[in-house]
Amino acid sequence: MSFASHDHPALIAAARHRLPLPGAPADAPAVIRPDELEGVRIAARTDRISGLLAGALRVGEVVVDGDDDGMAQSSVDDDWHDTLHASVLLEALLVRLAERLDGAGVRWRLTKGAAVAHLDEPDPALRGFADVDVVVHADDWDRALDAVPVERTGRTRALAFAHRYGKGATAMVDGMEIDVHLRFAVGRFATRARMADCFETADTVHLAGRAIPTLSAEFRLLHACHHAVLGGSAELRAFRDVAQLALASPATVTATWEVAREWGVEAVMASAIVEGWRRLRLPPDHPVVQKAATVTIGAEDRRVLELFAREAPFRQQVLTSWAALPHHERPRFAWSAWRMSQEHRS
Amino acid sequence: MRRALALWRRAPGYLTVAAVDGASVRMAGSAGAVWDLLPDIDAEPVNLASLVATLADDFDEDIDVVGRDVTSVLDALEAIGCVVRLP
Repeated sequence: MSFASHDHPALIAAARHRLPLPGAPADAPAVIRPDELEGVRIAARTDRISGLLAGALRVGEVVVDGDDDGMAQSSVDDDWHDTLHASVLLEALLVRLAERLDGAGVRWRLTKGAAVAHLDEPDPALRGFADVDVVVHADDWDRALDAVPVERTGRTRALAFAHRYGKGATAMVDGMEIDVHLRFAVGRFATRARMADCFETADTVHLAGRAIPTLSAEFRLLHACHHAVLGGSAELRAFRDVAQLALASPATVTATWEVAREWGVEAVMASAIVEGWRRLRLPPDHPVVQKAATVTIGAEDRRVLELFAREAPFRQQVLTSWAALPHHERPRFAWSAWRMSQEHRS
Repeated sequence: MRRALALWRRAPGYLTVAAVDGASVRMAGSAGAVWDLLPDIDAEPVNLASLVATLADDFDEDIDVVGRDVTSVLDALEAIGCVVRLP
């Protein structure tokens, strides 16, 4: 499986910046030619790794040919600062959201960007993000939609489908995006998820005096794995999250394999780790990737992973649920999907 | 003087701070060094004069110049409710 073949070496070096790989030999600096700089900056901004690129530039892991006056560093720093400003505005939104969710009695956990920034990165400033991601308990779905709040008009059937089979819903507040997840993905692997498990444990980050519950580390890693191989654009940032979490704590990796086995999504975790190691050019003899490489991925699981890797249309992704659902569930799935499509057309 | 409830990020030569209501500032230069020296909301406050003296010493700058810079940073942070000046 291949997700991208043309990552610029500077972006790879950025995505590896400050990963916990003690004893790994230093690579030769990745070089950006002057005519490549703008493209690399755009790619880093899009992938929200400008902070990592700025850090890699600062310590010489990345160099820009002919940048004697430091203008390249300065321009990448500007991109990073924009990301940091967006992050604090999103965290302010998150604190306000937390008050609403807690007030409504919703069981929820912060995940992805802000959670990884504060709990898993060596410095939260290294992890940029462009939205707030929360996972809510399926039994609290309606209350969560009111608290967020998600636009419901004309989307009744889509939200009903999301509740039963989908990934969740998105809300826009003050121009910022809140993703309300019910599952880590759509399709075949989502049908196996036992999302209620996520609410039996929690970690905590403290933001502006408020305790914010997050997914515990094994679920953060599992979510990162799902996002990396089932999340769409297969960004370097997603694979860095996988690598950062996996390299930081062997205990977390062990616990995540256990959850993946219980859920039946070892293929997702193995694929994310193997692909992450390939994309980031991490040492192939590391035990984390060696263990992942031993996982046998069945033919149907592999077919579905490849379908997501080539970014097949959303409908095709959703329909991968069909064969994974129990027979008695399939008519309801078909009916719910058909009703959603009718609503979409109208 | 000390920090109030705030969200913030530091980078070399850069500081951005937001209040929970979304009011925010972003500052370059030594503003981050000022922020670093401000105690957390639940810690003992710091005296403005000693804050200025510490920074003047750290940056080997004239104390009056540093005093003006620090005042301007604190004014901006206080305006969004992220710094508390105590009587």
